Amino acid sequence: MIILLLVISVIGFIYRSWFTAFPLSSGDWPYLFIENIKEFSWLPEIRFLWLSPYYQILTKIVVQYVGVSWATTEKIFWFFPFIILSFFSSYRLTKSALGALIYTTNTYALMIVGGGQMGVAMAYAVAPLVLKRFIFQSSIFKSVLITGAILAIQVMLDPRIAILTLVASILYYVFKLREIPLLPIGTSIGIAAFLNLYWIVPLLRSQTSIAQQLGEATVGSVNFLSFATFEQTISLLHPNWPENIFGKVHFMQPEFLFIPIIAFLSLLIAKKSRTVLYFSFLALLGAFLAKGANPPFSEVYVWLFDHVPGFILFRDPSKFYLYPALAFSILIPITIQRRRGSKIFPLFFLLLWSFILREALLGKLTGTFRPMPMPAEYVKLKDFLNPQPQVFQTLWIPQRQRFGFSSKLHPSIDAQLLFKQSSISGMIQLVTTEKTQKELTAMQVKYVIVPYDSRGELFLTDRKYDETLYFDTIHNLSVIPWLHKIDSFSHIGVFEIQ
Amino acid sequence: MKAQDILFFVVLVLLVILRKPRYFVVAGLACLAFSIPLFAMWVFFTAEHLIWYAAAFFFIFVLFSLLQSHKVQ
Repeated sequence: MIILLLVISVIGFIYRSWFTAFPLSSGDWPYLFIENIKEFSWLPEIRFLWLSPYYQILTKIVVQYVGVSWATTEKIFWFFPFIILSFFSSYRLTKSALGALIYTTNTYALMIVGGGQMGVAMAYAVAPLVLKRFIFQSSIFKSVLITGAILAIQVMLDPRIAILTLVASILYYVFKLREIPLLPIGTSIGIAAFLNLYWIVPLLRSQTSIAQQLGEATVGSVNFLSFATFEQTISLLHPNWPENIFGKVHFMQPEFLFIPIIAFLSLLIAKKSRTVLYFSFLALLGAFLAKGANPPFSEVYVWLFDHVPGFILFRDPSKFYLYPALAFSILIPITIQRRRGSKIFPLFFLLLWSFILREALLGKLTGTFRPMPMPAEYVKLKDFLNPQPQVFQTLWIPQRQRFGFSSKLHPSIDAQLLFKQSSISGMIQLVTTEKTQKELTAMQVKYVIVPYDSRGELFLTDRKYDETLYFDTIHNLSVIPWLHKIDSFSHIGVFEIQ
Repeated sequence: MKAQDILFFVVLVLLVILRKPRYFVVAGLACLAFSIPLFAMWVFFTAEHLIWYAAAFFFIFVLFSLLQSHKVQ
């Protein structure tokens, strides 16, 4: 009981920054104005893919009709459920508070929620429950229905994580030398597939979307997205830990190696258990695949990507961190709790875990773990743009800030995409030409906007916020004769095209 | 092939001859443990290879244990 309370305290302390009134928009997680939500259709929109019912329709009901703010809705339906589901489902699988702690607070889990990948995170949270239901699949019809419904929810949140969970379930039967209960498992998968037809059918019919997805899924993209090294994946250490800056890979932190040491010790403690063998294999398989095209045997992942049907869904190999996370949340408690009733080892592990995750406990994580108030000026900008009845676009240099308003009537364009330029100076150089003025007018661009980079994500030099870039951009646009600066905004540079 | 790799294969062959699967786990754990100070001292090449060997030892243990299924519950 003491361990359970301590575990809950550690989890609560790590996620404490989410208990705030500020919006958690960061990384991939958006900020939605009510005007944006009002534009959501009642039918699933293909732009939201599988997430439509939960992200689109539920948000529309709760924000537009019930009147709950987005900042509250995101917490009630995404962030708090992640903590609760992740803890509950991993506790159900592992029957251990330590197992739930490992699954809910490992660096992979923290980095995906910190980066705002909440669909992936929620599917990850449900995975232990799905795995448990499949490996103890009952043939009772009610149970098959419930399993199918839970799998359907996981597929709706992220089908890739659902596929990995199913593969792990099948592997369990292979390890246990048990016959796979094809009928109940097949029925559950059928139910899940049927309930997800709302996105499967439109996606199959929409050739452009699939072509786009396939176009992005190249061996080059696999090589690019293979950030983690094998020592990191086997230690359940996310390569971006703790800063979570995309592409910035940190050196190996050796203290994380205590995690696989404790986990694989279970092979000596419970050496006759096929469950331990299965989860050890799952950890090794996941660690090997999560490193993607990195050594050792870097060509294996590329071969799988090229030859195994469906593997193109895993151009980002980090999804395979699911397996070490699942495995270690089972194996570590087996090692630690070998002596039932002894509290010394669990307490020692809690201390070790707290030391390993010290950045999280000290509040040094970024992204959704660093909520900030939305600058009032962005509401002012929305109130300035939204009432204008005519159709026009806004051009954001270098790109739209997360609180920047964009709607179907007034869509935004990111200069870095339009000009295919990564440097702000290159964008400015192109904007100053007369040809660009004509092109922008033809594209119905009415305003050129330089965002107020309140989160320090856009004006970067060596991945760090650089205010001089912001001031230079404002200054360089101010001297363009065909741009008229609107003075009612202080931090956001709004220029009307004359 | 580096000296570390040769040593790994020698140990691997010895362990296969000894036919005591639990020694593979011990060897794997030892590799992980030895790699900790090496990573701390930024001796990355050897440390990385030790991790690979550890995984190989664990994997072989799992395979051995599965093949000796009559001894496993």
